[in-house]
Amino acid sequence: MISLAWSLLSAFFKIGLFTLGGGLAIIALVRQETLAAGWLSPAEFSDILGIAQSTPGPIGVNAATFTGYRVFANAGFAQWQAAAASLAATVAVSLPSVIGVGLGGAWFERHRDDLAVTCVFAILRPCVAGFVCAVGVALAVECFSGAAAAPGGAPGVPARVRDALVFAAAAWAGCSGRFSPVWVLAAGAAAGLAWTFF
Amino acid sequence: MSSPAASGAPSPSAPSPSAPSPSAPSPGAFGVWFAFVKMGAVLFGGGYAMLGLLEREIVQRRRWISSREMQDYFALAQLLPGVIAINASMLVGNRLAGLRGNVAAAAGVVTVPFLCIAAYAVAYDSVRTLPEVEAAMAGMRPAVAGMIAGFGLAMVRKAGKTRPALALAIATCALSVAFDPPIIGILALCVAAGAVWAFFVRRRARKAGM
Repeated sequence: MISLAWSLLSAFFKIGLFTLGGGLAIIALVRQETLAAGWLSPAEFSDILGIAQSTPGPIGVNAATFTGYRVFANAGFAQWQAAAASLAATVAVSLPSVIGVGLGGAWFERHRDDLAVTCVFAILRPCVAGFVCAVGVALAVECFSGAAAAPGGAPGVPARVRDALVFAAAAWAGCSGRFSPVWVLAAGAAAGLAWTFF
Repeated sequence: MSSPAASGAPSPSAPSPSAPSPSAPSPGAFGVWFAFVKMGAVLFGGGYAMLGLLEREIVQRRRWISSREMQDYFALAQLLPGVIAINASMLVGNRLAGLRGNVAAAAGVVTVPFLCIAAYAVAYDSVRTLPEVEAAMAGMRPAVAGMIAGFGLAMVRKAGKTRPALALAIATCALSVAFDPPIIGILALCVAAGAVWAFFVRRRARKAGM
């Protein structure tokens, strides 16, 4: 239990620490760390993203809360232990901010227009944008290949057409930035419900 | 000509951004916590939504700090490592009530989200097999994928305004899809490359200035 807790906490501390150059970098980091450690399946990761975006709160913190609980619940611990793990993961992902704001805040305040800061972010921002795009591609591949599908198996052709339409509409909505993620996801969920029950 | 940044050694007594303004009284740690609980409860859609909430709650409604100052804190929150919404909360909490305000603001902004997600995590196993939930989740998966791809495209459009930057974004995306390289290592490499780049730019400018 101690070693599992330690690897969970150090993973989320690292994730918080390397969330640089735009908050969405955290999506790519959480995906890589949790899938590589075998803590979450691709379907669970996709579900967490949906849940994290459609409930209030920063997405990285929500992902940490959920992952902390799932990891301990999947390993067979009691509910209260899993709840404690989810609280600990939430603290762990926020801890780098304490350090950054406490130690780096004053320094950054004075140096934020420095050449070095400008140069670092000029390289970081396009890189992070590329990583976020790659997560979108990976999620789409999993969705269409059926790797993220429910036990029902890979989707048939009509379901794939529906998925492609939902994907395209959501990509447009996400890119335009004019819609809250809550409405985009609600529309997707409504499409899924309408598909099954009508 | 030497740059002022290179000559100015950091002094420990430099004014920190947490220096309180003489006009407004501190709301206290509990007041800060409560204000951030309210914002956390309606924070949908990540870091950038946080700026609007801070403007409405802290600047306009409570008049604790000025809009100008808030913009500065938010810009700083994006540069610091960590979750943007947490960084911004800590900076503002720090300014309002010192270290206690810092912790109170961060704890406040995650209170409601934590309870929501924990409740969902507890219910996840029993809920996910319901046919209604399964159908809704099946529709939500392509929506999540599309939305993240759309966010990524918007970020590429914003960050890739020059041709080298665009090439870097596309190369990172292609490499990441093909090989899934360790992201933390690449981000660390980016920081190092930026520092080296700045060093050469500065040296060239100094030579040209002489």
